[in-house]
Amino acid sequence: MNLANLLSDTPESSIALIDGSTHITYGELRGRVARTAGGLVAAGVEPGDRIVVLAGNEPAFVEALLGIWHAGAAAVLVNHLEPVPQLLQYLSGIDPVGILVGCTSQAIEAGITLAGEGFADRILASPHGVESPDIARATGDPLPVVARDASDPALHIFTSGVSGLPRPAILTHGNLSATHAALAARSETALSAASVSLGALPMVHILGLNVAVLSTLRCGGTTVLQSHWNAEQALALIEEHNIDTLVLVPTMWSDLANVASGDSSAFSSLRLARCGAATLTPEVANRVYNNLGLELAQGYGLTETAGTVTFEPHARTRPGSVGTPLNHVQIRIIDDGSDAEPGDPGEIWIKGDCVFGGYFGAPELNSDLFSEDGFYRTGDIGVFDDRLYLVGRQKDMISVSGFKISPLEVELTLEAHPAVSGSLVIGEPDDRTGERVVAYVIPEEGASVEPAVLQSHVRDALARYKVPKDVYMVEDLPANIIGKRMRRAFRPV
Amino acid sequence: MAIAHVDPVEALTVDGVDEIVIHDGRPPGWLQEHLQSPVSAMIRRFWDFTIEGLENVPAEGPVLITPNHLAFIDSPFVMALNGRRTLAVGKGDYMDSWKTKFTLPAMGMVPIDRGGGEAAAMTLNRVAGFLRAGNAFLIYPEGTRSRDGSLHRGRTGAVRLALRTNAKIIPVGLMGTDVIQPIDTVIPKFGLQCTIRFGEPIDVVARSGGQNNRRVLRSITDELMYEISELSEQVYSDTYGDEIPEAKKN
Repeated sequence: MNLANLLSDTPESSIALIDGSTHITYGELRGRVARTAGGLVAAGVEPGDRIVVLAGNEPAFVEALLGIWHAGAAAVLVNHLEPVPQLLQYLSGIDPVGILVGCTSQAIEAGITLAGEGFADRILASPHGVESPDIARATGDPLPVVARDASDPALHIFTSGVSGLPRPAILTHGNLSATHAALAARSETALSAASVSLGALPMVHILGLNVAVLSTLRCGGTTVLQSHWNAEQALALIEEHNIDTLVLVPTMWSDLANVASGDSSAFSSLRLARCGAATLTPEVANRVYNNLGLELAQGYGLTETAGTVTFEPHARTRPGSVGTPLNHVQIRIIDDGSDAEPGDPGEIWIKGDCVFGGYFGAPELNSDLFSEDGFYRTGDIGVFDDRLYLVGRQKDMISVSGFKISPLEVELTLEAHPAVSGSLVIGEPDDRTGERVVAYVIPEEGASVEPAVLQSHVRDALARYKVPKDVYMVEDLPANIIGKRMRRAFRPV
Repeated sequence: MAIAHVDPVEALTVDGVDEIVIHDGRPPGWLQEHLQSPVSAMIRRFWDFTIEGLENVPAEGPVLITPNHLAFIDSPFVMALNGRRTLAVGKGDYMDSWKTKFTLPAMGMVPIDRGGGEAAAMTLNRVAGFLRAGNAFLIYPEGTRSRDGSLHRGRTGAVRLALRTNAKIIPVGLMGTDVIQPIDTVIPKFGLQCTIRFGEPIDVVARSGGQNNRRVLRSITDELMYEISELSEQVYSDTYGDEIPEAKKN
C-alpha cells in the first residue's frame, strides 16, 4: 500500500486541482508527482527518509507530498509561515534529509532563510519553483511507485499544541487511508468523482489535508485551492466552481455568514457543509443557518487519528454534539479506569485503523499513550449519551473544590452575551478552593460591559461554582492557525 | 429505618407511570404526622442540634430533601427536623417482618423491592406519585453512606424525579452524625453535636432549559452536590460512594 496510488484510478483528463486560472488534470498531476519522485531519488532520497514539505496551499504542496510518498519516503509538514526559531525547533528534532520548497514567495523566503541556518545542502526546489544555481530541483525521470506497507510512516504532522508544545505525530499510509475509507462508507461524508471541494484550510493541518484534499483526490474529485483565507474570494470560488463540499473551521464559517448575509444563492450547489477543528458555537451555527441557509455538520477528530472519527450531520439542532463514530472506530469514555456511566464525563479513548502509533522521537511519551487493549487515550474529556459531546481537554479542566469545570462551557456562556466577542477561561490558584475560574473577555466593538454583569449572566445559566471569580477585559487572545483557543499558551499580563 | 437506593441509570430506560401505593389503607407517614413534634422534641433532648435555613423548606408542594449521607441516623434526624411530613423509600424486606411492616410505613417509608431495572423504575414511579401529590421526599444523592467522610459524586435520580414532578430540591448539609453513629455501629452516642443546614431550593425545571437528557441530569446533579458540599463543609470526591472498595449499600 502506498498512498501515492490514490491518484491512479482517475481518468487522465479529470481535473484534480484548480489554482486560480491553472487547471491540473489527474494525468498531469500523476506526471508531476512521478517526476518529483524521480528527482528525490536522484538526489539520494531512500525509502523511509523524512522530507519536509515547505509550501502553502498550492499545487506544489500536493505534488511534493505525493512525490515524497511515490519515492517511498515520509513527509514532514510544517507551517512555513511560522517564525524561523519555531521552524528550526521543529526541524532540529526531525532531522530531515531534504526540504522541498513550494512556489509561493513566502515558501521560497522560508526556504532561503532555512538555507542560511545550516540546511543549505538539504533544500530542494519544486519543479516549478525558485530558479537558482545553488538550489537543486526535485525533478527527474518518472519512476514507478515504491511499494510501502500500511504500517510504514507516511506523514509527520505536528499537533496543534493546545496542550503544550506541538509534537510530530507519525501517521502511516494505513492510518490516512482508514480515514478516507471511513468517510467514504458514510453517506453524509462520502465523496465522488463529481465532488468539488474548496481547499481553503491549511494543508499542514490534518483536517485541511486528509479530510478535505486527499479524500477528494482519492475519489477522483476536484479541489479548488485557496492560498489564503478570504471570505469574499471563497464565496466567488464557491459560485464559480459549483463547489459542493466545504470543510471549514468556525471562524471561516462566521466570516462567510458575514459576507453573504441574506444571500444564500451561492450555496445552492453545496452538498456537505462541514465545520471542524474547533468548537462550533450555537451562535455561529445559527448565523450560518439564517444567513446562508445551511445546516452545518460537525465532526470530531485529532491529528493523532488522521482526522475525523465522529460525525454529526445536524450540528445546529444538536448543539454540542459531535455525532456518532464512523465505521470501524471504537470509542470509550473512561472515568477512573473504567467505562463511565452514560451521561457521565470521562476521557475519550479511541481505537481503529486510523489511530496513529505514536509521536516521533518520544518513546517515553509513547509508552503511556495506549491502553492495554490498544485504545488511544486522547486526553479529551467527553460524554457519550447516544452521541459524543465534547467537554474539553483534560489538562484544561478547572477544579474548584474538587468539582470539575469545562472552560469551554463557561466560554460559550460568556460569548452568548451580546457584548462579548470572544473569551478565554482558565483556572488560577486559589487558597480556599484549589483553583478559581478566571475569564478574559474581548468585548464586541464599541460595546462596554461590567464584569459583574457578565458574572450575573453566567450565574443565570450555570452553577455557582462555574461563575468566574474575576473577569478581565482584553483586546486580544491567543489562537492557533485554525482558530483554536490556546489556553495553555495564555499567560495573563 | 434504612433507606434503600434507586438506581437511576437503570430506571432511565423505563417510561414511568406515577403511582401511589398505599398499604394497610393508610398513606405512608400517617403516624409521622402525629409523632413528628414529640419525636422532634425527644431527639432534641438527646443531641445538641444546630439547625439553619429551615425557612428554605417550602411549607407545601412537592419537595425533595437531599442531604449528604454519613450514618443511618441521618434519616430520622432529617425527617423529624425539617418541619414537614417526609417520606423516604425503604427496603421491601421490612414488609416481611411483623416488627416493621406497620411501623415503618406509618413513619413514612415507601417500601420497594430491590432488584433490577424494573424494580428501580417502579420505585421511581411510586416516589413520583407521592411527590406529585405534594409530599416531601428524602433522597440521598450519593446513594450510600460515605465511607471516607468525603462527599461523593451524586446519582442523578433526584434531579430526574424533580424534572418529572416539578419538585424543588433542597440541598441539605449534615455534620456530626458520623461521630454520633460511626459507620459500623448501631447504637448512637448521645449528647453530641449535630448541625443540619437546609440550603436554598434549586429550581431544577428552570435550570434544565427544557432539556431532559443525561448530560443535563449530570450537570444539575453536580450543581446540587456543590451546594451540599458548601453546606456540609465536606471535601468533594468526584467518584461514586459505592466505588470505594469497602463500601456496602445500606
